[in-house]
Amino acid sequence: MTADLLAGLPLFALLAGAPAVYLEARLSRGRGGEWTGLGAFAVFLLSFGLAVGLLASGSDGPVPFLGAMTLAGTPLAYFLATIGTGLGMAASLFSIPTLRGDRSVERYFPLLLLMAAGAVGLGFAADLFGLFVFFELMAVASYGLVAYHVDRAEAIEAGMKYVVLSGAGSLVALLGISFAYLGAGTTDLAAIRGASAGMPVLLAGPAAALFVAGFGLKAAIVPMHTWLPDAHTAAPSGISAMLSGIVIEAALVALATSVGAVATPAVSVGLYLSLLAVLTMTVGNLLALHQSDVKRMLAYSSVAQVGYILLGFGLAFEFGVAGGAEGGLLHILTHGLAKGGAFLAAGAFVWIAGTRDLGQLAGIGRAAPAVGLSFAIFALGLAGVPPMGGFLSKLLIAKAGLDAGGLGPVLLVLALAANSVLSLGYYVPALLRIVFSEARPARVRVPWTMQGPIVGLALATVLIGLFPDPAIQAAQAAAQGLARAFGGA
Amino acid sequence: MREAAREGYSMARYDALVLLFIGAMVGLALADSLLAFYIFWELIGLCSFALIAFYHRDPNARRAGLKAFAVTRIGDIGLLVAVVALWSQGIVTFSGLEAAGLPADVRTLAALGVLLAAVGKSAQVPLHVWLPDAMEAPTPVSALIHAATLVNAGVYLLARTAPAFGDLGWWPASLLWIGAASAVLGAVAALAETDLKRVLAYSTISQLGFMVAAVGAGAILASQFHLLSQAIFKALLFLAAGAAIQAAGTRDVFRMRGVGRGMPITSAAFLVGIAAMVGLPFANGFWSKDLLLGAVIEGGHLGAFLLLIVATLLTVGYGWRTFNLVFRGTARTPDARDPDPSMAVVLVVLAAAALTSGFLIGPYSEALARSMPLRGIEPLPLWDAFLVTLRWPTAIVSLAVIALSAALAARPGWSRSVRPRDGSVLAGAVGSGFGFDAAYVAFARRIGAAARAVRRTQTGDLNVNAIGLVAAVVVLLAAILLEGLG
Repeated sequence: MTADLLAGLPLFALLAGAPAVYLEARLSRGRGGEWTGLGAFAVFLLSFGLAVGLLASGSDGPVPFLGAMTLAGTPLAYFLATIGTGLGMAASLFSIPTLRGDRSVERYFPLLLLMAAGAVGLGFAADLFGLFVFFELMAVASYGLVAYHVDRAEAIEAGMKYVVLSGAGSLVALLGISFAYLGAGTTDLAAIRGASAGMPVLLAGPAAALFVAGFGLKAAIVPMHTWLPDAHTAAPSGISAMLSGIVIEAALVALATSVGAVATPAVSVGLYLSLLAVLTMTVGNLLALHQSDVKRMLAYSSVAQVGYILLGFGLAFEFGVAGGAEGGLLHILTHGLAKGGAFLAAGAFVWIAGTRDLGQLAGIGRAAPAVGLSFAIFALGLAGVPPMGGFLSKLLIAKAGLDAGGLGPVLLVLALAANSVLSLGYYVPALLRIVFSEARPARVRVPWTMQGPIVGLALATVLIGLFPDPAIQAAQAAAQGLARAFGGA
Repeated sequence: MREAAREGYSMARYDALVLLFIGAMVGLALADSLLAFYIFWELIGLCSFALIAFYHRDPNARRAGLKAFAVTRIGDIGLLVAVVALWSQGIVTFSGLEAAGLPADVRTLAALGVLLAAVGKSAQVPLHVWLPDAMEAPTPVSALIHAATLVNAGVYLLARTAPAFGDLGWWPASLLWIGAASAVLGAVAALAETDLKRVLAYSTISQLGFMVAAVGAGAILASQFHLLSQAIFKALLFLAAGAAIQAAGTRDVFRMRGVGRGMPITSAAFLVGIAAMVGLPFANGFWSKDLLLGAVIEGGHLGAFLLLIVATLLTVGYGWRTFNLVFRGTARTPDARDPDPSMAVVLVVLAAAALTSGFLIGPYSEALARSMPLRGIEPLPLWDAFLVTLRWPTAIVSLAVIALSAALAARPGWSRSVRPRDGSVLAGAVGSGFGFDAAYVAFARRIGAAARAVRRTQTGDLNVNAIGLVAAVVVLLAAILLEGLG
């Protein structure tokens, strides 16, 4: 029993940490946010350490939780937990100097922990009920964080749009859950999967469609992506890093596990996912071109990157190539590091210069060389240039397509390749402007709590590219969990 | 580079990038793993981009760097697709590729990817547009990267993969025609261009065209031997040109007139480079080009052979035109002097190599026959190579080259008068990279227009945004139910 509880500790630590950090913030009012931020960091660090340990030990089994909700400590759960808590560590440290003197830190850090708990919980959920509860936990916490700067009209507007659309998406997903329950008589994912072969198409089909639309909205799949650029731009930069680095990806995993449970051979959901993936990456990349707002550009690029991950999942679904799920999950990791880092670096630039406009940020990388160099690494990683980690994960997704064989998958891979070229159209100009510009602003001393996470993520981006074996093994183990969700197809 | 340092450009960055480039280039040459090859391939591209844009305060340099990166990237994607396609068949090394039997569709995909990659990196038509602009780089970089090493990577890749794709029919034929077309177009542009470094860049495109065509004709030895010759004489020409440009203070060949008067070593070095490039006996270009032309005609590729002859004669034209314009005649800058010994000694060494490396065909062919088996490479002793140059079609070409060279040397005025009038068709064609520049600009505009069109869907209006969700639900439901029930 205790061993089982241990298996759920990465999640429980986050859930328990949120009220604890809130209490600390209330009791220490007036002493600034440093200790609250460090407290949140400590919780993330604890959870991260547990997740890494459990992932390395190959732990895999049920976890007792409240009432009827069942959780499972699978490699997939620990994989997501590692990414989410790792980014959480970076975001909480980074946020300390940006929130100095802000009286609402008591909201900020607990909500950050709860949002991470929601994202991590999605990996643990073993039934549709739990999936929905953690999905909503993640969503509600993120509403508060997107609109954190309540004195800014932009943040309020973005928060409103986000709440309305996200709420609608949740309802659609809930409707999907009811269809699945109607068809299988249970919310347990494994049991639904067992019953899905006998489920009538009139129940399984709508369930799958509603899962794709409902969870897909939160993952910003085109055409349900329109809320993302506003929300990820208006949020504080530490939150943008979390939203782009783990929240939308967790929603993708929720989509994959739920759709996998109700998939029937009569319907080629994987093909639809692959086509949506190509649409998503193309639209995302086109939207990111010619963006003058650095955070908005990164936000649109997240839409495109979701497309890459979804393509991996779609290929695994439709053609049963394990490499697709592996590549998609590894891309969640490499993209999380690079995009999280890029948002933090952009946040540091905004902190220095007070603007998000790329034209006015010319040469800003020279004002803070460590941040500028890190930004270069992130941009190249996102573009998929070796030896950064992003290259490898994209390569695995492309390989999965060619493994599948046939003309269709090859066309999908070519779409991925063409989109990679297209994405250089905004990464490289942004890189040139920020790092290789003639403008030479004066050096600025960036606090270590800000610089440390950025440099750490940059190092991780390079190291995963150079020594990919542990990451690939972790992604493989996690992909087996996802393959179970895909019905071993 | 001393002036660059005085102007505040970081020499540390320059040296680091050059060293990284050399390391990656050596890695590329030695790699057997396809993935390692690809990574080195990308690394040399990155270094090239950063070095072209080295004078980062100059907007032209930044634009040229970006252009080189973007255009060669199209080819890089080709290589990536090829590597992944082979990997999906369990082939991860070049040596494995040579031995393997592949399914037809994978082989087609991989062959196409390799072709695209080589065309991009070796600046062949229609992906040649980046190389002339890359001349914004410091001149030693042009000599090292854009004449002697990086641009050869494509030809080298073709030679490495030739055994796997050589019997595909369309693959060698495409190489033959792309190479021959690049050889002619590059030579025409070099004849019309007025910027000395761009003349040499177009000349590189032309010479690489010879090598690509040779791979298409199955003459791996000839293509790789010409690669060696070109690397030596083109590096020599670039470095001598750099010295002349520094002395004259301009790159316009018409305004450099007569700069050679005060710089005998540079003039002599450039002359040796020209002699090797046009193929005068017994400089290195003479051996390799004769070998190459002989192999193409022996393979029965008459059309490509005739195009290459045209390119050869055009080479004589632009070679002498450049030399006559820049180094001969009344000096406009009478105080031009040879560079200091540290630079001059490099010119002398390279000139000596350009005159002698052709005689190494014996050991070179033996080494290549050992290291690149399966390509029908036979050791070719010097005497046999000499006999090749005496055979009838190639011997006539050599005689024509000698006669034309003598005429152009004796009458410098002829070649100096070659200058397309401003606004003429030729000037326009050369200025726009034979229309390909315009085509890329038009393509980029299309993408820009598409981006704007998609941007219009991002209204920020919540009602419109909600339509996206509704549309997704309806379309997915319809598709799934139609398929499931139908």
